[in-house]
Amino acid sequence: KQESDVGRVCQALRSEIAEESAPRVSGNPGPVCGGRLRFRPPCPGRRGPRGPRSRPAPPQHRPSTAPAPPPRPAPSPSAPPPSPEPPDPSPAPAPGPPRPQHRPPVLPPRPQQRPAPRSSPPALGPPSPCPSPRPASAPPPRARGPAGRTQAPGSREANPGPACPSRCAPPSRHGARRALEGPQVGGAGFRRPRRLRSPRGPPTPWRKLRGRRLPSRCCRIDPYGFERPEDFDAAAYEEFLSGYLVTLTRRAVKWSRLLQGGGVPRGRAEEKWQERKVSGARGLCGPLVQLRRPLSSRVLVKRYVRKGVPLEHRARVWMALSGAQAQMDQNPGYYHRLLQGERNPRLEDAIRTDLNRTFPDNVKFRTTTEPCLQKTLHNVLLAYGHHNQAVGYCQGMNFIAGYLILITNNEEESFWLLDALVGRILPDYYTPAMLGLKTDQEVLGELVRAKLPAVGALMEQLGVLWTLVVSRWFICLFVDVLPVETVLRIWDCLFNEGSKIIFRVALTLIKQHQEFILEATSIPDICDKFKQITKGSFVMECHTFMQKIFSEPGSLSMATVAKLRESCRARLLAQGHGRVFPKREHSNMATLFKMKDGS
Amino acid sequence: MAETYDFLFKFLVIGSAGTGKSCLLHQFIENKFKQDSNHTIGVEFGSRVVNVGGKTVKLQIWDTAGQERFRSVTRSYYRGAAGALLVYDITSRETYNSLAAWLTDARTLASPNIVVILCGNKKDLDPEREVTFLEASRFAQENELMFLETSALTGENVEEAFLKCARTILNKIDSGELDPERMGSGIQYGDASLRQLRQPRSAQAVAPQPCGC
Repeated sequence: KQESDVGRVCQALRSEIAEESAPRVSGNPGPVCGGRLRFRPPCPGRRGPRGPRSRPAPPQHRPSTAPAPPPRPAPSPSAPPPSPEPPDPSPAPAPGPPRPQHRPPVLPPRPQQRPAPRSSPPALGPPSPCPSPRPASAPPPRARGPAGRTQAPGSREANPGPACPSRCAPPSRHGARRALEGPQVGGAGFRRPRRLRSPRGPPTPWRKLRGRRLPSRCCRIDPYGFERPEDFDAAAYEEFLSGYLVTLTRRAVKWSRLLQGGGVPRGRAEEKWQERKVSGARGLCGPLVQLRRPLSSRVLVKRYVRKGVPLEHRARVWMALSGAQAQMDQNPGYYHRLLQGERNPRLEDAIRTDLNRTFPDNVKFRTTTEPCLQKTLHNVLLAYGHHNQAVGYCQGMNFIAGYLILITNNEEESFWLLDALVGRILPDYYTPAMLGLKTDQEVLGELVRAKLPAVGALMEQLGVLWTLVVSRWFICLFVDVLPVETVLRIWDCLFNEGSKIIFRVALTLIKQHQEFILEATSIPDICDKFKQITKGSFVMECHTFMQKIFSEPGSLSMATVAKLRESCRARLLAQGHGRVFPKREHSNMATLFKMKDGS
Repeated sequence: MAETYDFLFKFLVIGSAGTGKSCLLHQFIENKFKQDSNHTIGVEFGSRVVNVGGKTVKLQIWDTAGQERFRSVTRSYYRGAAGALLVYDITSRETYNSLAAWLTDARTLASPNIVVILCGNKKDLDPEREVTFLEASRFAQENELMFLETSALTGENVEEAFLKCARTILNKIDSGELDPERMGSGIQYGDASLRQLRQPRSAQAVAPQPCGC
């Protein structure tokens, strides 16, 4: 089954990728990287304010070859009227033809931004830390993939919209023209000889970015719309990012190749092997072939996923790996029927209570933002509550759905991914008795006792229940606990490998900070320590962190987890934890008042 | 770093979802309204040292998640609480209607002697009120609770609620109604009182150490 999923994702993506342009495939990290916001290759339009056109721009700031400002794409009839500016300042998006709109835009064009006075940008200098906002007149073109899936290139990839509202002026007509002409044209307007256009060749993004100072005003909001915390360590982040960009670039190239069929596991090599096996070509060459046998798709995809799914493929890869895509394809229109069905006022009330409390630190979820993702979130949660009535709505699901919406930009996909998580990957976590959740927290306790006995002993000595310190980790799947990029990397694996990943993350966090935790002398102390270990550079450096979760905790087989789950579950049931608390509000008060009235 | 205090009280803040429990706590500890508030998952902590009737008391406050299904998780933390703020939202009758259940939980799981103060929160939203002051005070009287209407937004009565609860507990200690040395009383002696008493008692009153000398 897994293999067919993989096959499906590869196939669907291959066709889409084929349509996309070479520059992206060739490893521009722009769209992949969480920090692309700041390290975006220079914004052509920004050049405008820097000075008169004749002033030669420093060559290293201009990708003068391939990816550089794409010539105006031929506008398709259904595309929005071409604006005078390039549709996106980044060279990353494909210069392919704008594709027609297909599905209802979940994320309509980003909030409009006021052009700032011309005087403000110079301080930014290239490479521009904040991309110019998309001009309001040019809504992001939506795209239709050949597989019927659509993609909003602007929003799924470079999503820096609200990063620096009112700070960066949108590229002007002149700026755009200058961008197009750029340093290819000399001061006198003559075309420069090719060798002068780019003395150092096309600058690799990370080379340009290293060592550049980070204008702090632009990191207030991260690419996903979250405000950076007060204590955000920009310098450390930049340091990490300059290295991580290399990784991201490499992964982007590899994924593109994988999805294009270049190194596809189910490609020729594997088929050949299968053929040989079938045709009975064993004998002498059997063992040899066995040695040479290519990795199965499952193993290869697992390796790829563990190393991180590029942001532009993330939604589709999650959809395929989790089986959400299959569910969605099998139930066309189901989601919309759920929304039109009978209303459940209790459910709606519960959801509404939490709408304002979901990501108040994310600009996209603010009511002052237009459009506000709260409505989308409401729909997804409501539909899910109708779909899975045993679960309804449980706090924590709002965070998960919120992330899914931020990644997929699509209500229906978010719904099916939520279903994959809540219904299949984390069964019984969010049901009223929360037995699955409690079981897994106990399992973690057992694992800690076995692998990190000192911490286990301390917890026992202080009488701390595991649920006190790790509820949030399990219920929110690390959302709002770990940094966004790290959470997404964890979810990559979660969708592929299942809930076991949560134990790996938790064990790694605890093991890494064992000494620190052991200093605790009281329950509040321990709670505080468990909060602190989810902060800092260890968790921010997501790539290293993800490597650690697969090495640090040691082996963790599914069989072990299953066995522990069974015993913990039995213990909890014996303690009466399987009991669901009856909905008592009204009945209790009614009897209370009846008693009083009677007396 | 060690603060000196005479007593340490364990407090709970309980009530339905969205009544403003975390905001009350935040207002009490930080003296400001928490605008961008997340809902609580599981339990959060807060503590503040206050002066009540000449004694310094450290309040260790456990803020719980309000959603119904989290009760099965949060119930585990009730044990040994000395006081509780039972919160409802004056603009939501539903939150008022569930008070009895919360109260039962607190009395059965924490301690029958737990000192509870009923807080009708969001007092600033008076035009949208669904529960009258009179009705709630009748409920409080019948269930032997103290009662205040509070506003985490303006800070009105927030400090009073916590202090009133702490004062009542101190009075009960003085009158002998509450015994701090009893296991699970939710009360511990602090360093200051230890010095005064000049008894080498363990700071952790709960720990079964009769005498450390």
